[in-house]
Amino acid sequence: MAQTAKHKKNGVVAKKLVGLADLVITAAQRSKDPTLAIPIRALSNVAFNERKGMIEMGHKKQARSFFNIGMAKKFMQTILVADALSELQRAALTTSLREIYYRTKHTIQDSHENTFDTQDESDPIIEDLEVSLAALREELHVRAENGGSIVGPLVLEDDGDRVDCAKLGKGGYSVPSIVEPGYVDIRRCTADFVLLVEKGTQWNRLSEDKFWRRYNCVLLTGNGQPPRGVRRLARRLHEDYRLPVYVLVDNDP
Amino acid sequence: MAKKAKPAPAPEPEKKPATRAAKPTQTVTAVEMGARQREISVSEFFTKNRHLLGFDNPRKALLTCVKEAVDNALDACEEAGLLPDVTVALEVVPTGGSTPQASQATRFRVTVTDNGPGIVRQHIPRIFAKLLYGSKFHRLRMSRGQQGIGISAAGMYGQLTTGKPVKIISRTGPKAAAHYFEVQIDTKKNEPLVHENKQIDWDQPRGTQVSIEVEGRYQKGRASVDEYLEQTSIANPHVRLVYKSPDGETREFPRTYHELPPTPREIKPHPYGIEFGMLLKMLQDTTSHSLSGFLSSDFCRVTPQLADEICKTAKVSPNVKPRGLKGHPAETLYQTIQATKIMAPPTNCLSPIGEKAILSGLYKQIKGEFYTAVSRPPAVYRGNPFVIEAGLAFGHRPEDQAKPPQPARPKAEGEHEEEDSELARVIRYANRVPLLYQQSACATFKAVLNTTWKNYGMSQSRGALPGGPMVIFVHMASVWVPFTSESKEAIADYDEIQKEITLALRECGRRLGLFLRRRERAASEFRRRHIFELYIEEVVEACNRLKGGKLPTEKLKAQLQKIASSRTGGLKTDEALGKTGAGPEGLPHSIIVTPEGIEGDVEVAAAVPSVAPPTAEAAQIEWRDEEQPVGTSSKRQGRASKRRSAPSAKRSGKRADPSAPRSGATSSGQTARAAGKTAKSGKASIARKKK
Repeated sequence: MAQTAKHKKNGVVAKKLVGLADLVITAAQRSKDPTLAIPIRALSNVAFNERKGMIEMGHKKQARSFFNIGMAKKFMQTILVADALSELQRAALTTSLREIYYRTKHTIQDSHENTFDTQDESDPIIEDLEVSLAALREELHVRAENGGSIVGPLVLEDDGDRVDCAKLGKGGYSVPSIVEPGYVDIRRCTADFVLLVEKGTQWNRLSEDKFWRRYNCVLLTGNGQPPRGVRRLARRLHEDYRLPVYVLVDNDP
Repeated sequence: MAKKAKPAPAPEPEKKPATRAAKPTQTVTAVEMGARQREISVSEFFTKNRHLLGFDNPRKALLTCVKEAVDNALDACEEAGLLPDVTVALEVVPTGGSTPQASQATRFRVTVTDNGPGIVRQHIPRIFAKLLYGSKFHRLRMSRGQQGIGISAAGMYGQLTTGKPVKIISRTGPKAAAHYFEVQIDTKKNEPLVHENKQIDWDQPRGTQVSIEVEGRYQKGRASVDEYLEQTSIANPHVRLVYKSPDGETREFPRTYHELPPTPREIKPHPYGIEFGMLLKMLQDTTSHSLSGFLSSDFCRVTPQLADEICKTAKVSPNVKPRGLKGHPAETLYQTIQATKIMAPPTNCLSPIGEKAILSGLYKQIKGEFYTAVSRPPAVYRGNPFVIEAGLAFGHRPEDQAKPPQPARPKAEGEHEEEDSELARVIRYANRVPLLYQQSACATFKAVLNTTWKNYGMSQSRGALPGGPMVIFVHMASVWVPFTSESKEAIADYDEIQKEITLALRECGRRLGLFLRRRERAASEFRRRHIFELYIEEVVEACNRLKGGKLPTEKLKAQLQKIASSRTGGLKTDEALGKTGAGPEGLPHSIIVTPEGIEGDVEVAAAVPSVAPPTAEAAQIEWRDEEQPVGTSSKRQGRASKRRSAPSAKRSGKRADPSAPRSGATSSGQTARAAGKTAKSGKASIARKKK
């Protein structure tokens, strides 16, 4: 059942990506400037939703049109990235940000110009597509490097393998970038709370000392600034199992 | 031995003056000195001072001979109302039994043939062999020749250097016989000596041929005969010139303008233009019996009423005999005249080349992308009316850009700035005659230097000509062009003249700046379009892949390219860049700007609001109107009336601007006034509403 939901969602994302091509085609037919609306991701466009307890994005949008000399290149890049992502959807594969950059980078015909010069150009465009298509990066089949570790009385299912996080020694389970249901399912969790440790070394210390066994908790770290997988996993544990999340940080900005 | 002996005679010169002073017999008495006094003939004077007439070196002498003969031919044809058809032939005269190459030759025969009215037999000897004899000196009328020195001086120079007489053939019409003359000048008496006089058969039905053998040097390049003829052809597009060079080549400068310039009228001197001595002479020479009659008939712009007024102010009886007026009263009269307000002299005595003719002349001879010409309204210096005309040719033709630069050629005398590709070239004219020497002494050149070309998008270093591929044309037409010397090489620097030249050049510069800016904008639009086109390829490919390869890519590409070109100025960009291949009036790759507006792409010009600021104001009124559709009724009424008149003001501004010549200021003034009226009418309507 989870598998079908996953496929259904994928179909929606793929359609959204093809929708970008349709946007260009219809605009061209009407002799209009093809324009994408991209939500602005800036401090001015976010607000804390008290009811949901989340920081949410506002409704401000930015137009990205093709026939504007300042935006033409970005527009072209967006379409190129959309094309690469749509290919991933069709092949049902995931890839990294870096590979998206390499897949879309090439020299434009009859010129000395590259479509992308650095990865710094392609990364924000993936983010743009995420927000404008209202799809998660993971849904776009782009994953980040595995980052962060988890250890504790927790059983996960990853690609059909049962992973008991209590039996993984002091190294723990390396949290993948995509922890959505369907990719990683939480089969059983008997912990009382989640302890999110900021520093990798502190987590190692606690893990070595089997702190989680003594206090019956899940030890989680993001090695500094936590990657998306760790953040989402902490949220899932909090929401699905109603575990309180304690955070061990040095509060040094 | 000899060396030792030398110091001894040194003291001697000191003694000599003393001995001389002691001998009174060696002094010259006043009587003896008086006996030595002799009259100097003009011819003798100019034989010695031939450099004053432009015969300082062989190369220049050859040019001057051609120039004087051609000027006379053109003057004669125009005065007779004939479209000039002039042939100039330079032949190498064999010296020492062999004919050297043109560049090595020292003797040339200059033959100039025209289709003019011919000369009556009796006048031929004196016209060609008497200095200061001519029809043009005593009248105030625009002509190339002024003094009556030119051709006879050329003949005299030939006589001096080769000993050969001037040969003339002239025929006044198909029915008359052609006369052949060989004349020389008696320099002592300044009188002609006729060597040969006979009737001959001539194949031409009418015209004059002058043939002078002179010592000279033929070299191409700057200030050469070739250049002179080329420039003559620019300023005289109504002339057909055939040039047979000493190399044996025949070059034809075709006629591109088939209308004779209007014949200039002869005018009387203007009172402001005469000096006191001149007035005294005129008082003596007049045929009038009364002073007021003299004033009103011998001067222009003096009416009988004004003459009476002048007499009254000068406290002289208007009925006094002019010949009797001398001394103090005459001086008072002169001062009164100078103090009286008198209308500027009439300008029908001038025949400017005209903007169209300058354009066609420049276009014919100079290869550029942009041409413009400006004729100033007549102005006056020292009582002499004059007209300044300026023209400008800018840029390279595409076919010239592809050519490799020409190998450097040796510089010739009279060349000042050679870097043709670097600095602009100034070609100067006075009464349609090209001025080739003494550029830096000329008012024209100074005016070009004093114009800030940087304002018009040209580079210019301090005190230098503007840089860039540009030819600046300046012409002064006047009844009396103030030359700095008899050889007519440079125009004297009168403030009035300088001012007019500067104004004309500025107008040319403004148009050039407009053209350059427009071209630059077109180029940047073109760059933008190129970027879009690059990206269109990518976007179309990506879209095709997104749609699973089922997209009519060519169609989408064409649609997007259409948007791209319309977003980047559309066809105007192509036109301004000369990519469409067709220029205005079928002239490829050139845009011609005339006071009638810009020929070629008028839309682009109309889109530039730089000419009439009030137009922009009118447009703003319109806009504001659209932005606020709701308002109180009275306000709306006022605005509505504004709206009705605003577009009309805008339209009239646009129309008036290109049609009225030199109307930058006037038309904008008109529009401003119109706008003022509009505002008033708007207010009035508000008042009416309130009542």
